[in-house]
Amino acid sequence: MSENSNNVQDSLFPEYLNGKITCKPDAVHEPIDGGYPMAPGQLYPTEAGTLFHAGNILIALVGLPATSKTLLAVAMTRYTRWLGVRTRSFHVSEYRRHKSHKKISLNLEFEQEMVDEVINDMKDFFENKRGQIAIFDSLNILRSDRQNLVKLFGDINVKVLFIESILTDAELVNENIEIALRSNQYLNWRKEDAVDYYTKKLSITESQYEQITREEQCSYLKYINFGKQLIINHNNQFGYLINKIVFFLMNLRNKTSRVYLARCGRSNSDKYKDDELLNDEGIRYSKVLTDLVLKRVKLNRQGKELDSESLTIWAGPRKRTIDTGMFFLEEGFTLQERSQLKQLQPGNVVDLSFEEIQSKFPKEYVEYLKDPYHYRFSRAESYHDLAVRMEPLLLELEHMKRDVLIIAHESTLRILYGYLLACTSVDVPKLEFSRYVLTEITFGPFSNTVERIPIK
Amino acid sequence: MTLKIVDGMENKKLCLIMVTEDERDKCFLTQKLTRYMGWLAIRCKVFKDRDIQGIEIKFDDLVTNVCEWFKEEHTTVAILDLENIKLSDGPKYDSIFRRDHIDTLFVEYIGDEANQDTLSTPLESITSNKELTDPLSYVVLRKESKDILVNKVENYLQTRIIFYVLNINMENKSIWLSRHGESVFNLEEKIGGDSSLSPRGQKYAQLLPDLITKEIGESPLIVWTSTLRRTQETAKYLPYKKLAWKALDELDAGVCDGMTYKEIEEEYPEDFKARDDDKYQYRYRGGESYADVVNRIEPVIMELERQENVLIITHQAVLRCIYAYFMNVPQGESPWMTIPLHTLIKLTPTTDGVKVTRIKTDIPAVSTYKEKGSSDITSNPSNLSSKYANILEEVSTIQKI
Repeated sequence: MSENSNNVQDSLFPEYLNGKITCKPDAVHEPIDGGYPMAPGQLYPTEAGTLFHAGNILIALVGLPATSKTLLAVAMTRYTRWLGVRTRSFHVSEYRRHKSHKKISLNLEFEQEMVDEVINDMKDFFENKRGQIAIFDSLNILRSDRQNLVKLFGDINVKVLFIESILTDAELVNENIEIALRSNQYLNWRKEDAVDYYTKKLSITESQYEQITREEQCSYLKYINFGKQLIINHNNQFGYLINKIVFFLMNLRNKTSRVYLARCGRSNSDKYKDDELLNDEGIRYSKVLTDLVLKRVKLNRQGKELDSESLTIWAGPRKRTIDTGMFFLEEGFTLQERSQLKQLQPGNVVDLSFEEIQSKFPKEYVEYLKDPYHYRFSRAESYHDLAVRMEPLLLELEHMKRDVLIIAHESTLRILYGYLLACTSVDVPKLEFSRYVLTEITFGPFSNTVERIPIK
Repeated sequence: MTLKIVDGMENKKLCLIMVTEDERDKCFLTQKLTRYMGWLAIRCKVFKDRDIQGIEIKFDDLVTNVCEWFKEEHTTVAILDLENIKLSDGPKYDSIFRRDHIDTLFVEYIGDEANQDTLSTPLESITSNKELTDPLSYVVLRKESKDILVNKVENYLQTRIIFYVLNINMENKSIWLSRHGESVFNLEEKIGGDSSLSPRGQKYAQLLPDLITKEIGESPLIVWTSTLRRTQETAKYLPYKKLAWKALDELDAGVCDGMTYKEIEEEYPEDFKARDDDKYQYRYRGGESYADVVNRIEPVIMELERQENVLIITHQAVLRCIYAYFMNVPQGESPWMTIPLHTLIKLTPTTDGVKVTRIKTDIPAVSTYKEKGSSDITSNPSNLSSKYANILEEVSTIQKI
């Protein structure tokens, strides 16, 4: 079977750029200094690179241990960076882990030292790193701590919003303790030690905990049982950006599920214009893909049996893409055709190789190379356009608790990967998704992980 | 955002049920939500429990009407505007519509003190377990404290609506719109660019403070401009806080930036024709379409909903999009509206719709209106391609509402 890539639109973009990127780890914790090429879904910056005239904001999480604060902090960072906001999350637990390699007993003085260090770094982030949103992942369960934050950051013209995570649902609480015990903080701990440490910490903090009340007169959002209920009390003073974050939080769910990304199989001409069904090779591919994905899903469920609810398949709205998912239907799974997965509209460069573009549209080609993420060929979409149009789908991904396989064109896979692994706008157009490789991304509370599995 | 966004929502049906004590508040909210649905290109209809003569429609008939309507193509959101809705009836509504696979979302706008017989208990006691098993999806907005309570929101469309509701400001306020003063490029019949004001444009800028002060007196005002020179020069003499938005920049004409319509017609005849055929979707080579502009001004629209009095000084295409949002002008029609230079437009949202007032100055300016099918600029559009072409002619009828 020929590798007829010279006329294939979808293999065109990465190959002629400086180096493809085949696998990039989660960059959601990358520091953002100076000219960090902010993220894919960026709309339009205003003065000084801050978005939406929203000013500088400190989001401080509030809540007992194991109330998903870390997960919330990281998820908000990922989403706002994707919007183009200069956001960074600051986790006291990480500072503690780096400072002390031995298993420490609870030491309140040491805890306070850590908190002070984080606060200094957050101030530095606003004052010297052009940061717009800092997310403070700490307990903040004392009223006096919160008042202190409002004062400290008010002095440097940063508004403070508290997000208090409250869990009353016993099932969710247990789920969270499980997740917390698997986090970095308890890396290489014996399980009994971790449980013991954790229980102690919980009992100390529980007795001190002062929930936020209206009388405190601060701006807050109560996030109850992971979005089941929200109470918002900020007098709408933050505007579009914070409302957009609330919107995101309404869609977010805690999950440890996986997202699988795969290309469709081959068709005879493999052209954009011919919307064909798969050829024989393509059908063989889709069979192998089906077996591999089901094997992985099963493996990750640690022995639990598969049922039709274990996995959902989303396919782009093209014949060969949907055709690639057909064997899953036979296995009893649901396949949804998703119009948002429509590939990057190629416009006038449809089905042209890179050399052909270069000779036919030399001027456009030069412009394209300058900024592949934002450049639009005539009648075409840019990656930026594509990201904006795919936002509802990304939010739906955040909402799903079950595994999902996405079969789509390389351009849309780049956007999905770019969001899930916090890639920069420079990286996204270079990401490579070859056929014959299945990408498996696992949601984690602190970072998402990725594995590339060959499809044989 | 645009049509594209609702793709994949075809199977989602949602019934919004409005709950307020105050008839005026309800009209206001219903109207705003209808407008937002229009902006998202979501098919939406308001159902009342009284007909035009004020005769009550029976509950069962109303439900039948709603369910019948949902059988039509692309119907997505029904808004129930009922005169006497008892909140204890909430679960009943929910179960009736659920039978037809229609989700419900109750939207309650209520004073802080009025706690009896509402969907929500006082916000303080909300964390009790009883509340958390509450099966209804609702959002409660408190009038005075502006507290918001959201319960059990399950799908994207619901979150999108609540996102909009979060931005709404229920106070009375007005929005003033103006194009920049006449620019050097306007005189030369060129599009785009970043030219300065012409002498007549500068006169308009000098006149603007008086014009505005006469309108609002001592009330506070904020002025938004684009990042382009001609809007900032127009705002120069205004004694108010100013913000420049990149999102308010003129539609990017790509390779045609700085050309006249005649030059475009000669150099890119196919593009010229394609644009006239579908001006809303047509995207300039290397530039933008009206649909792109609509996408990028969403943050501006949301901030507008949130703010007090605002004066926006921006460009023809952007103003058309903002105006279309407030006046429910269909997407395809908005690019053909006339918005002349040196004219201030005032929009005042009322319970019956948005009231438009035009304040025309006596400073002359060129026209920049291009008719369909020709590269001529005209001040008297003759072969009007749409009934919205000359919005300002319609002013008198709109004002009567």
